[in-house]
Amino acid sequence: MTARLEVRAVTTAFGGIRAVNDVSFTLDAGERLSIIGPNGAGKSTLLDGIAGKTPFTAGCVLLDGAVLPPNRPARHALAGIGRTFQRVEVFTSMTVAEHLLLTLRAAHGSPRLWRDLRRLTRQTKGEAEQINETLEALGLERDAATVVGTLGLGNCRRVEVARALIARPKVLLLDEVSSGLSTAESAALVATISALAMERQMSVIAIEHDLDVVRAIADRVLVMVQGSVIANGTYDAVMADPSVVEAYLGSNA
Amino acid sequence: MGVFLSYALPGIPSGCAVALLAIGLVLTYRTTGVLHFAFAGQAYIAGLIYAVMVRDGHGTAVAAIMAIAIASPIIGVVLDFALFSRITRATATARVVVSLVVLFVVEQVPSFVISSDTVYAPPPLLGSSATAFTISGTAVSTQSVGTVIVALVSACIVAVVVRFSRLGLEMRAAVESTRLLELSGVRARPVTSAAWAFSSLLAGLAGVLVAPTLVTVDPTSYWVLFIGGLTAAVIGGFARFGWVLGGAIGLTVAIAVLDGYLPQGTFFETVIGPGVPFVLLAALISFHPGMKALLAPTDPLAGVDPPLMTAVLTSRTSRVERGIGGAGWAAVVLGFLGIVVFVDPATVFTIATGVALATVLLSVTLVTGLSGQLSLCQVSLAGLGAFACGQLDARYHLGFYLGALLGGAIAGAFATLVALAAQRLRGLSVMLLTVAFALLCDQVIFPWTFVGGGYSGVSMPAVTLPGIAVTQSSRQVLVLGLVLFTCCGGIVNRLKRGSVGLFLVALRESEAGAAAVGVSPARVQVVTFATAGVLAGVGGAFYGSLQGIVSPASFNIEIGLLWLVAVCAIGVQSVAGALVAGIAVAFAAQPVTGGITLSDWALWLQIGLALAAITYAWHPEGVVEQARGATTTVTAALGRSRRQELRSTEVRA
Repeated sequence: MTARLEVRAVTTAFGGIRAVNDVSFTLDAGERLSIIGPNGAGKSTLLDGIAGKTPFTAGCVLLDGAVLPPNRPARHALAGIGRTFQRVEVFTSMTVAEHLLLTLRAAHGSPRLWRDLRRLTRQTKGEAEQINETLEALGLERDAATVVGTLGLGNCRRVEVARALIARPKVLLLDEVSSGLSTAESAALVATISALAMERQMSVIAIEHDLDVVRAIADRVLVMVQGSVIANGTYDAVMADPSVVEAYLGSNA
Repeated sequence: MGVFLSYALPGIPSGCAVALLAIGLVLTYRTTGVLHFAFAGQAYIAGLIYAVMVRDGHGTAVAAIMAIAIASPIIGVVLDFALFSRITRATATARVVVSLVVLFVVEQVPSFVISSDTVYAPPPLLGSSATAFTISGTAVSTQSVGTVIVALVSACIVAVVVRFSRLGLEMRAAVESTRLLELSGVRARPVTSAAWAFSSLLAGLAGVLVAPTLVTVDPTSYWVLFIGGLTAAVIGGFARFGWVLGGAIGLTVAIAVLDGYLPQGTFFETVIGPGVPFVLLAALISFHPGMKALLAPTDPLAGVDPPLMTAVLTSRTSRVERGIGGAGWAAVVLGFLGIVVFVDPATVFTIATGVALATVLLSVTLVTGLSGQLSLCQVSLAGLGAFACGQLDARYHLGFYLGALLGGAIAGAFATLVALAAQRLRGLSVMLLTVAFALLCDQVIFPWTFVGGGYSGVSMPAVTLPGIAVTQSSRQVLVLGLVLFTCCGGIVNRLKRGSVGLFLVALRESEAGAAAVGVSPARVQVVTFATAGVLAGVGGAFYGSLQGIVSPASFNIEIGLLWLVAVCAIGVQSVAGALVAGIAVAFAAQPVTGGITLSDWALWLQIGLALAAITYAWHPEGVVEQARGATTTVTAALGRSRRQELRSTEVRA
């Protein structure tokens, strides 16, 4: 059976530095993977490569068996890869609802000039329903008409998640999604994402530093150090791995 | 060989002066993140100070010291202190707009300070026209030798300072993040001031070295010098000083050789030859690896900053917005009705011209206001529309309406070509490509008789209305202009409120975020530029028709800069902003007869526009949107307090 996502021997080099070094793994439909590792391990570079933002120097990414074109983030998104960012990338003058509407419209792939001119792109009932449903799932329904530039960091992160989820991605990439959120907010967000992943058979890759979140969200954990994978397994197995302990706490631990 | 050298050698000293300006441009960009168009004006000021002081009896050394070592660095430091150090968090687009305003203001300053007489070329600072030596029969003057030596020494000093000195290291660090630099124990302000002073000194040096080679010391000559410097900076990818120096000299020599060899008076000499530098500039911008994404560096500490507030409103209440918008437009319609009924024909003509300009400016609303992309070629697209309309009428008697439509289509096609050439570019590189296209139009396409009609220009078809005799100052023409503007404004508004508007705003505010949801910047760029090109072309045709005859001078890039500054100042994000800006530009450029002299009105209006444009860095929404936002906020607040009042009344009841 074809894996939902296959990352095949990918490498990203910046000059002489290999930020990601020959990394391979697969992800099944509905499976949730967490990537952990110290700062500078190459986690975000790997995620950027999977999302098409940064080209891999070698290797490739396959979604449902098809190779994704490198360095084409919009094509990756339309193929079914949704993502959030370590440093939030929101549209500050848009409202929360407009973020979601944009994603639905972008699913068509190109701007609809003639439909705009004929005023056929007003929000449809179907679009409104999808937006409301997503906002409710993320607890953002009260902020639908709020301009995102006025929201705090935590809410901006939830907007990013909502924006990614409304497109019903096959794979959702989360980059430190819990940072800026309180413990209760993190727990609620993780519960929502986990439930949707199960319901929609959506695969999830989450970069996290908060190990409680990692334990809650991940079926499997992948540990990276200096661009390479040093461990890949269940949370308990990985945490018991001596090489992981050494990478985090040093050889004298 | 002798003939070749006789063409090539005179180009070398000019190339050295161009190189100095280019090095100053690169230095400022690398150390402050500002692509500083006003260097053209600063070089002009230095050249003018030198020329005027020498004319007034001062020695060349004293004049040079005053122009290069005192005035130029002071101007640089003042610009840094008063403007650029205060907009470090502004977008690259905003910083370029401010730089354009500075260029606009700096070029006007001499008219206040010195007499309006023409200032002729001063004697050279170094050497004289006496022959120093000859190469294959070509005499090389001591002045040329002096210029080359000064340029080479300056380039070496800059390269050494930037690359190896502590100050150079600090300057390079300052452009990344002044806050990180200060956390390292270095005071950032003196470092950026030093960078500005140093690069301004180079601009001043270039200005003084070039002044003796000109006929008169005027802003246009320095603008040409700046364009050469810009091309050289692109050759060096805005990074490598050696390439910049070599590129400047090579480019100037190549132009001189081409100019010498092309047969005089032929199509090649008048059209192809002058076009080579601009085609080269466009090609370099499109394909040079270093130009792919010429973006202003972002502060690594920006991640801990709160998001920038871009709107006065915290939430949108469409009823309030519609109410305010409706009331505003009702006031505009009533105002125009009053104008149509009561105002004299001359003023009607000026307002009609303003409405025509506003139609052109709607293209800026689409490209800059919605997508955040600065385009300096909208005036050229307007010119293409106007010339196409005029030439089609002259050849095929198509009349105004069909001519304007076809003119719009032709301008749209050219805009599409620009967008396609910019497919792999982002940020300031796209803006530079539009500069190259505008210059190509200015120097090559428009002067071509087939397009611009030569010195006599092109006669434009008059606007006609069935059964009504109209003149250019008829009220009916104004009404027709308003109908045209309303249609074009309607198109912009529909795009703004539809999918295209959402895509453009997304790309403007976060390209990474937009790509993450599937928005392709390249596709959106083509659609936006093409639509804006059509609007500019149609508006240009109407503007041309009002003028009666249009010439290349009607649509040159400097006029386009004034238009851009005006619309950025007043409101580049809204249709209302374009309308107000168009009318303001028309009044700033048109004679107003009566008790107040024309220069007073025009001058003060231009100063007002320049001052307002400087605020663009802090308020990209412009004056109109600020006022509208404030009104909406007040109305919404009043509405809230009224609702609270009603609720408390209900509770008490």
